[in-house]
Amino acid sequence: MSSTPSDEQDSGAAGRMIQDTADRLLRDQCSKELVDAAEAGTWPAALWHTLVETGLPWASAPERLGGSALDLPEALGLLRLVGAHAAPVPLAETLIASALLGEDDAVSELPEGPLVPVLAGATDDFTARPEADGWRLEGVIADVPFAPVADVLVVAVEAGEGLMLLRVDPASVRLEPGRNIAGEPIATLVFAGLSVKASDCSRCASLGGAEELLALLALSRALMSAGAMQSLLDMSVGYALDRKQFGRPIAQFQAVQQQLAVLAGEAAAAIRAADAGLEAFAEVFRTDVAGDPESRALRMAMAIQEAGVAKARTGEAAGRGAEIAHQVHGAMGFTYEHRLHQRTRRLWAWRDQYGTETYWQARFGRQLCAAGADALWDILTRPLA
Amino acid sequence: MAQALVFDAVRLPPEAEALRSEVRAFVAETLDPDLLRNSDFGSGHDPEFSRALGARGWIGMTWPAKYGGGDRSFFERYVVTEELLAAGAPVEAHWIADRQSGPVMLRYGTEAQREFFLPRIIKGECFFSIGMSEPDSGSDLASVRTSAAKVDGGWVVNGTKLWTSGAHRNHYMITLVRTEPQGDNRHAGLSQLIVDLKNSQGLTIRPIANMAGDRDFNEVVFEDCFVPDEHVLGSPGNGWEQVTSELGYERSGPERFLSSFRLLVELIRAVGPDPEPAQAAAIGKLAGQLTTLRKISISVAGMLQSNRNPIVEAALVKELGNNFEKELPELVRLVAPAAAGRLFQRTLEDTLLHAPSFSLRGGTREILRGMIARGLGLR
Repeated sequence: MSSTPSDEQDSGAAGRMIQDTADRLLRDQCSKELVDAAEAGTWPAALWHTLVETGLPWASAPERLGGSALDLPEALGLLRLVGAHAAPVPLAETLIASALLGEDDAVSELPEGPLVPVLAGATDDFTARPEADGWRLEGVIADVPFAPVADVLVVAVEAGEGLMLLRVDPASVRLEPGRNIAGEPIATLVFAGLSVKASDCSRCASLGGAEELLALLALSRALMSAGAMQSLLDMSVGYALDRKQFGRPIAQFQAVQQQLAVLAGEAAAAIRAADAGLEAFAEVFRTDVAGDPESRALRMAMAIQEAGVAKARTGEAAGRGAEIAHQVHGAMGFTYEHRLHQRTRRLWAWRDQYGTETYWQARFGRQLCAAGADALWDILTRPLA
Repeated sequence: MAQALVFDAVRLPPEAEALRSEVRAFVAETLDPDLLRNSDFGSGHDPEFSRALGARGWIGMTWPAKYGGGDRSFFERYVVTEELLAAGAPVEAHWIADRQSGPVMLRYGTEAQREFFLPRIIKGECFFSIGMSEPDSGSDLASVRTSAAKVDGGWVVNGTKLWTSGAHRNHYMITLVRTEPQGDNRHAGLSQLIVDLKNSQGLTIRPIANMAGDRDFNEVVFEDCFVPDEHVLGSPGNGWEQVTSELGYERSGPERFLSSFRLLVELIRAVGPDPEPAQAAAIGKLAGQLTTLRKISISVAGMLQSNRNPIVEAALVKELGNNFEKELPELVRLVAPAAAGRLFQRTLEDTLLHAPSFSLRGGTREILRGMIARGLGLR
């Protein structure tokens, strides 16, 4: 899951091929009906099976585990497609978890089903303690996305200087399942003194702590949201050109044009911010800096900042964008029959996962205040790498 | 189906980043520390500062060396302009000449015009105004009525230009006039004249105070004002193409989102190192929006560098940027500490008093949204 600059051309071409494959596949498979059924509780097994056959969920896992060893940030570029097509599967979760687990040579195989990262939030009453042969987990972690469909839960806990990834069989945890506003499966996990054997624990080499994983998961939602914003814009422009009132397409009314221009601005800002988060994380995963802790720490600080900006900016865009898209679609877009809500409800769900706008904005704001007024401009203009 | 406007990831090249510390050092040693800092490109007319910038080679940076220009990239110009604005430097005097009068001359002007004007602009000695708006022509620019009638050796101009920033101080004004009566094609028959504001007969310049109390914009009245042939910019009748060609330069730069920046700096100073949650969130929100705008604007600088004409993309930068610089004071005042101090209060008031102009100057919000809608294929 890393590259040197000399690999960039090859890996870029491979990345584009995977993007094209994924775009075709998700466009073909993620019909309105399939997404409806998934939201009603039917696991889209055929879709997942197709993804498994192409190897997409493990695109960033090493080849010995059946992966394509694509840079994780490059593979995360696929997530815009998940958002654009409202794909109701934990592709983000499995991509990230398989890449991180693959860093441990002791992990010899990956399951065919989804891997779901689990990270306790600040408000969760949860403790993880090392014990003689592994870790002991106690407490509750609320509303974990896609936990009900996980084959393996990958619980991330902070261990001294780094992050430990504990592979947990969902059957050994009490799951209180539910659905979010997008109809995506979620679950509150109750750990009643669960012991995880050392052989199921891996030290995560590329991430140094829970906040780094949180930023990566937040970035996944930013990218998915950016894809959904593009889709909102396409659908809204298409609808405005089709729909006729007063004898002409509503696209010809200035009031509608002005609103769609605002939507275009929000989409552009969301896409640029999300991609910038990805670019910042790509700097962290470059091999040529892996051996230099100081350089890596700077890059990671920048990546967290940029992922946070991406999450906040896409969250803002989601609220404004969904509002305009629905207004332009009129009552038609408010019907269950229309597919618009499959995007807008996901935008509303994703903006609340892995840190809201306020969470990431306040984090950035505290940093800027700590650095002081006269350092502001320098921080805002600091180049990557 | 609509494409979202595409803004590629563009990183500033090393030679551009290297300029940053040079500009910061220059500003630190040149600017009066007691000056009220203002990031608005239209606040702070200081010919001496402009000449000092010219001596550094920071005006006309992208223009050919044969006219005294720097032959540098749009990225280098981008860094210099954003550094000056962020520092609140007084850039108004040379701003228009550097941003658009020079480039439009390079593209459309005669060789004699380039040889005469560009070296003077580059030295920071020759300042320009934009003579587009009129009493009855604002957003609808093609409706201008100021006319120029052909006479021996030149043109006789009659009419009135309005909201002409800096006309009372600047040396020249590139003036959009009708050189033929309006026919079926309202974009035909328009020309641009380079009017000498200091040495013309039949020209009256009356400053108009704005609501912030500044005397910056003007009414410029032409009464049989003679302009010689050699001051027709490019060829007569080509005015509309020339005017619209400036828009990519005019609308995509950092001046379209940094106008209120100093207020964010002063908010952080007033708040101190340990903010309340709402203060931290507001500061992080504004800072995150600003860095995103900056990335989009740099992406457009990349399009200019590749000789593209990103008119719709530039409109989108200005639309998003103006919204940001207008929202900034609204958010800042709600989280400001009770005793924020005189400097903060003055900066807030100054920003609020100028904010209405941000989404009017250089194309109103409504016109820009209309252009974006056209780019989306809606009209």
